[in-house]
Order: sequence, then structure tokens, then C-alpha cells
Amino acid sequence: MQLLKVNGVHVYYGVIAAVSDLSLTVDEGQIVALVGANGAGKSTTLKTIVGLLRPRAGKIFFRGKDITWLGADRRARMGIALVPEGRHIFTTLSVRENLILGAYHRRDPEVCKDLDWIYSLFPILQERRNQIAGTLSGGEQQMLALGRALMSRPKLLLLDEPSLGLAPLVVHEVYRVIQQIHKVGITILLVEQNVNMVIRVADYMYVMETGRLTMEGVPQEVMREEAIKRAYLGG
Amino acid sequence: MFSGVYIAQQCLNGVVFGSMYALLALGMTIVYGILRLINFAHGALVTVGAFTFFGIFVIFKWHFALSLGAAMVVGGIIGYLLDLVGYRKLRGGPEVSLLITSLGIYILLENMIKLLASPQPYAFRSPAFLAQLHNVAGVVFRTADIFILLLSLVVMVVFTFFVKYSKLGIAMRATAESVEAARLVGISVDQVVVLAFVFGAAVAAITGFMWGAKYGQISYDMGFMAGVKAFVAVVIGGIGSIPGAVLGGFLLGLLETLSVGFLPTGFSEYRDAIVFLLLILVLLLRPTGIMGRKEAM
Repeated sequence: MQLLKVNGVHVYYGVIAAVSDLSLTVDEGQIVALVGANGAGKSTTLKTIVGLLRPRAGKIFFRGKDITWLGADRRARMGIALVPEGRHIFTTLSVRENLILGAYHRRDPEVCKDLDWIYSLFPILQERRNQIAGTLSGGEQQMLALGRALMSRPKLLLLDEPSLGLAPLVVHEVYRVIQQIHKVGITILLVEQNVNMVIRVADYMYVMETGRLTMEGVPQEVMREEAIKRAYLGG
Repeated sequence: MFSGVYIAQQCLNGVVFGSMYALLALGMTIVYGILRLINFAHGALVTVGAFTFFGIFVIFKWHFALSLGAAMVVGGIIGYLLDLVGYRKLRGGPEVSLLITSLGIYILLENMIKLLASPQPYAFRSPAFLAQLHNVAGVVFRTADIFILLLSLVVMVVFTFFVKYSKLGIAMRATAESVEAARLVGISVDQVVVLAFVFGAAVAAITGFMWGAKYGQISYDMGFMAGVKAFVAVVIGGIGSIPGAVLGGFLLGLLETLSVGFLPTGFSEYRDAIVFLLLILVLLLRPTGIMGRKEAM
């Protein structure tokens, strides 16, 4: 079943086109990756899907419903969560407060259970639950951002460069959790420059260049293309 | 030299004034924390509160507690309307538009009160029990002073617990840190802003009653100095900081009263000048205020 459908979306920063005529779909249960060089428009695409940016043309559908003009908070309540690049955690709040805010719109009694689940995924967060989030290391902040997004019980999780700036060991830890999250049935749209990781986890991938999609397919097949190999694997 | 009783008397007066400034500063700093708006209309809510209490208590002869509650409710409703009509459409635009609007709203409210009430000041009447004089070891005070102090402390404690432990309070702090991140976790920023305005306005309205009870008279332009004092307290404490606002309020009240109390006769006229001198000194020595950090709440 189609969970997300982006149809002919154009996004501008003033007069500069950041994304042009972009169409993509994400099916339920998939991990879909969006790769591309810096400035290709990947983050802009994610921000448009969550409602932080408004497209100038095109439509976005979530579970068949047109959400193009809904605000970011409404989309979050519908089950779309973004872990933005740079994490955007609340640095003046404690780890626990950050996680509780992830479940801000939830009224069900299972919030505490989910909090325990997050602590079991990231034991370090439990250890540091009363610590101010701004004092965490980069890797811990990334885990907190991921944990906060999961607390909303998202149907679609958007991850923007989850490995950026992290030590290789931490990257593996983050990806271990991403695969675990996927196993519990959460659909993931992943923006990533670390193509090796993409090949390992993604079911499908899109390649973006200067605001446009240039290629798509199963990662192993896309990576056979000479141009892609040269650009992302150095030959 | 000054006696211990005299010093204690001045300190008590300072703390009572300080608690009023702290309450006003609290409302102003919350709105600033979220919208980055110095809400100059905040002072006008003091006038609204004072006149609402006065009208209901004196003209309609409602019970004191009911009159105070009504002033608070009217203040809260006006706070809500100000956000809905005045500010909501301007959010996301230049901050200076919000600032100018808040000045416009202040002028509008002040003149509406002038038209509805009178340009002349009114002698403020509060219940007889508040006017009762007490003398503890030579320090003289009225029940109203204790009432103001206790009510302020109750509001501050309740608000602190709300902001620290309730989900909405945490959401308020989160929104103050980053509106974008708050929206990403599903916080309705409009709801948080409305809450800040309603709370700030309701508390300002209660302060209006306190102001009247302390000075013994109310006038259509009383909100101007109240708003300026709140602003000074916010800046001294560190703009956007909640504990800073409370600290700034008490410091301002104490310094204002003590400087007048200990300066030679004739200097009491310079009470407000001293306040601004203090503001200039703080800005020179610590531009972010005592507890202020860059863009933190």
C-alpha cells in the first residue's frame, strides 16, 4: 500500500528553484533512500514533506489524503516524523523531557511503555535521562532525536543524514537501531550520503541532482551504473 | 543614621513593589521567549485589570474574591483577543511589525479606558480588611501588603510547577527554544502562544488590582509606568529568562525603594530616574542581563 506520494512538487527559496518537478512514492513497510550530493535538494524535499516548507506547485498525499496545505504540527499528529539534519533537539530541556515531547499529541496510556522501549533501544539515554540534552555528545544527540521521533509512534519516519558527523562505531549503532525500527513496521524515508549504508538497508532508492530526480531503482542495480559509482563510491 | 526598623520597613516596601514588578515581568518575558516580542501592550492590561476590579467591586458590589477573579478573567479574554486580532497574522513577519502593533494596542486600550472611565484618577477602594494596619516590632504594614506578597508568591510557584512539570509547560519551553522543532513534534505553536498571552494578561490584570491597592488610586495611564518597570525588570534579569524576570522584578523593587529611602530628602522625585540609571548600568556591564543567555528562556 502506498503510504506517501509526492507528485510533481516544485519548491523555491525566493526565486531560486531548490526542487523541480519531483515525484516519488514510499510504500508501507519499505525503507526508501534519497541520495545526492550536497545542495541537491534532499533536505528541502524532506522539509516539504513534513510541512516546514510549502511547495509552489505539486501535491503531497499521505495515506491517500492530500496534505499539501496542512501545517507541520498537523502532519506530525497524522504520523509523519522527521529527524532533521543537525538533530534539532531541545538543548535546554532534559533528555526525558525531549522524549516526552515526542509523544506530545498522544493521549493513549502506552506512552510510558514506549519510553521504556526507547530506553531499551538506547540504554545511554536512560542513563542520562535527567541530563540537559545540550550537554550530550553528537552521537547521543542523534539517538535522542531518533528516540524523540519514535515516541510519536510514526507511520512514516524521515531521517535526514543520520550518520553525518558521527564516528564509524556510532554510525553502526544508529543503523542497527534503524533496522530494528523497521522491523517493528515503521516505514522509513532516508536521506543519506553514506551510500554503503544505503545499499545495506534500503529497499528502493532515488538519486537527486540539482533539484531533480535523475535515477531510481533497487539500490544494488542503481549502484551498477558507472556514473553513480564514480560519484558516490569514488570509481 | 538609619535604624534597623527603618531599614526593615524599606526592605518590606521594596519586596512588595518587587513582587508586583516580578509578576508583570513574568508575563512579558514568556511572550518574549516565544515570539521575540517586547509586548508594550502588557502595561495596558494592568489598567484594564484595575478598572475591571474597581467597576465590579465598587459599582456592582460583588464579593472581593469574585471581583478579583472577574478582573483576571476579563484580562485573560482581552489577552486572547489581542493575540487573535492583533498579532496572529503578523507572526513570521518582521519582528518590528509586532513591536509597533503592540505600541498601537497600548495606545488603543489606554484611550478606550480614558473614554469609558474618565481622564481623572479615581480613589481606589479595596475591602476594609486590606486597609487594616499592623505593627510588628515597629515595622508598619497593611494587610494589603501581605496579600500582594502572598498572592504573587502563589502565582509564581504555581507557574513554576506548571512550566517545569506539565506537558503544556514543557511544550512552552520547547517552543521558546525552537518554533520549528516544536512544530515537528506536533506542538501547536498557536495554542502555546495563546496560552502565553492569556496567562500574561490575566496576571497583569491581577497586578492592576495590586497596583491600585498599593498606591490608593488608579488612572487611565497607570499602565504606562507599570509596563516600563516590567520591561526594565525583564532586561535586568535577562530577557526571555523566567527566573531572571522574577529576580529582576524583586531587585528593581528593592533598589528603587532603598535608593529613595536612603537618599537625602528631595531625591524621592528621582525614583524613576534611578530605575533607568540602573537599567543603563546593567546594559553596560552585562548586556544580556543577570541570568540571560543568548536566546534562552
